[in-house]
Amino acid sequence: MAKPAESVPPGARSALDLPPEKAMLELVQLVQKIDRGAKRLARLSEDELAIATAPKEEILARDMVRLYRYTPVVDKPLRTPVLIIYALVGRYQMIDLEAHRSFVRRLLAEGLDVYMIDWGLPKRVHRFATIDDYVNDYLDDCIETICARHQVEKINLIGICQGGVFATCYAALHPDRVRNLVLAVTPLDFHGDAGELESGSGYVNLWARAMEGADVDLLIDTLGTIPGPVVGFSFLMMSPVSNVTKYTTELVNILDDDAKLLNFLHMERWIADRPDHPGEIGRQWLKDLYQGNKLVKGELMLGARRVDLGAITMPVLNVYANGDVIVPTACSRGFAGRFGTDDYSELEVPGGHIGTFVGGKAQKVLAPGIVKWLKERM
Amino acid sequence: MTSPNEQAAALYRTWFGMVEEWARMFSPWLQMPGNPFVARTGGDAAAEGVPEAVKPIAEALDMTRQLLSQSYAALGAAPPGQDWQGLAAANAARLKTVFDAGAAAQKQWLENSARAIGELGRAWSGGGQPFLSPGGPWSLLDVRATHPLLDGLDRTFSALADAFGLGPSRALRDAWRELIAADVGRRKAQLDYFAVVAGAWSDVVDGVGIRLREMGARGERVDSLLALVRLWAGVAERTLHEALQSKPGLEATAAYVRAALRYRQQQHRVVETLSGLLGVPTRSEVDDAYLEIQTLKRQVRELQREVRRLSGGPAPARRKSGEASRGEAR
Repeated sequence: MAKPAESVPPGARSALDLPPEKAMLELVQLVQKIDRGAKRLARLSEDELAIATAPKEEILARDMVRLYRYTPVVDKPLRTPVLIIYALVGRYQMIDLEAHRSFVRRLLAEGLDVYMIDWGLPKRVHRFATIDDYVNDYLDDCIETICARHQVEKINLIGICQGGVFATCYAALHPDRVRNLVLAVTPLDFHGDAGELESGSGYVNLWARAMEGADVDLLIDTLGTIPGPVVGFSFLMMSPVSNVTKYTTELVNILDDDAKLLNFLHMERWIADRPDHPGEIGRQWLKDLYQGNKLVKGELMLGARRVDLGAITMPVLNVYANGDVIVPTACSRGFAGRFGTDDYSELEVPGGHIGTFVGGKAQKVLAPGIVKWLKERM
Repeated sequence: MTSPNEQAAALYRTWFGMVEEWARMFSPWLQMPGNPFVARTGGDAAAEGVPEAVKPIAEALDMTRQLLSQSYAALGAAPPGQDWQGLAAANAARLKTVFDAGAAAQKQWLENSARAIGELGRAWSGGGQPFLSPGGPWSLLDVRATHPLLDGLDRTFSALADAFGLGPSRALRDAWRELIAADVGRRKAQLDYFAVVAGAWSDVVDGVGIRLREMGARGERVDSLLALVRLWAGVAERTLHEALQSKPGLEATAAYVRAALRYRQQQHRVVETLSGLLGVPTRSEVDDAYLEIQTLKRQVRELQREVRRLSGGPAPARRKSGEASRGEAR
């Protein structure tokens, strides 16, 4: 709430110094700029707007789920392949949004053999699929397929956000199949931020905890699946004003800069492609994790099996973003001693939740940091 | 019937609407004709010839263009020598009054609606005991109470209708009543949520003024419209975060979500009843089939595992936990 600031002396003049003629001139220039920008938009080709263009081959298709292998770019990639597991709340394209700032392309260039799961677009028919089905069926099937193709017993996992939770569950239940576990911007302690609320951060955590268990049941029982736009709206509400004014303050400013404009458009394209979320997973995610915080308590059940972090005996690298407001760092860092391994490392990346994978500064740290850590353990 | 997608879109439009209202503060003469820049606008026209993937962006850009053009008209229409910044401040104060008064006006409207619906309910069912807090405004929503005589008539004739195969008429009527009650509940929750948000917007007006004076005291200047918009966005973002993350904000949000879902649940009930009446497969029947499919998938998965285990499987055998792995070095 706005309160009179003590720093404002009585009778202080406003800093606004904008005579009408100057404002009118700026408006004329802005409108002319917008007109030029509109023409540029009309000239854009689908190739320019394309995202996730790194060449890849489909390896496995199950229901709406696809397993892809990115085409290696070195003659002899490292023997142990890497599987990237993205979240269900967004599409995998984030890891390869633009060719010059692609997390995947950097991993490939460093000599990794990279696989990726595309969770696809779940439909109403998938409303009863649970985390157990995703971890112990789809994910397990993909990992078995990769192990068979490469004749290896174990592979490396890179789990991102919600996908990091799936990777954690898999590693706890199938440690014999995971050589190294990398978690990126992954919420592990869902109540980690409860004691240190920060304005603008962790709104989804607060919102989920403000609801009762019965509210979550009502949500899932009523909607069946959580529609993509509803998921998207919950993220937009993290920055309700800037998500609207970005079309004025950001877009107008970059209309004359092709590289920045295309970056903006690629990001908007990714944001707009929000898949529906399977209902039962939504129920588990909100009740068991956001409300019950069962993962770190060792109480999360997948089917009849309990997820025990102590069973994660392979090396773990935990990557967190220092400006993450979706998964506050209090929820994603500081887990030394909580897994069943002494080989636990953390890597801090500058930027926010998504900026970790597309931000210029983060790109210099993320892929090289992960590859270095993996190479030391392969 | 609105879909969840439409509900989300409607909520977002509400936010857009509030931003537009705030923008009007700086251009109170928005409808002034004669602006040379308001030549062509409109979502469809703006998106013409633009690749499908960027159509929403083209439309957003066009909205910005319209807003800027209207601001230009407003400035151009101001008499020479007019203290337009002073006028803007006055309009800001007026807007604050609007935000403050908006909740009260909507509450009055809601109570009127409740009264009308309550009277409709009484006319329908013959009057009776209120089912919501006696004496309060919501007790007017007496749509479930029935008159004993009408109860008897209802049972007789509805049963007769049922006997003639006209279906679950009573269930359908009850479903409609519940839908109306849920709609009023949803609107009330929406009002409470709106009150939190409108209160925050009202604080934004004060906050921007304070921020400008703070900057002025430090000798800083805001000398472009974009800089002003950025400053406003920063203040608004912080203020809204504080409001929505506060206990009342979170409670209002949870209550709104809850009420909107109850309304939707009642919509489902009406459709289920109608579908049953017409012999159309219902949502819950289809969901039962989906559940069975998922259960069968799990059984297939277990069987495949067993087959793989018995046949040795295509992948190298899993080791027992703790056993050293071999031959994986590069």
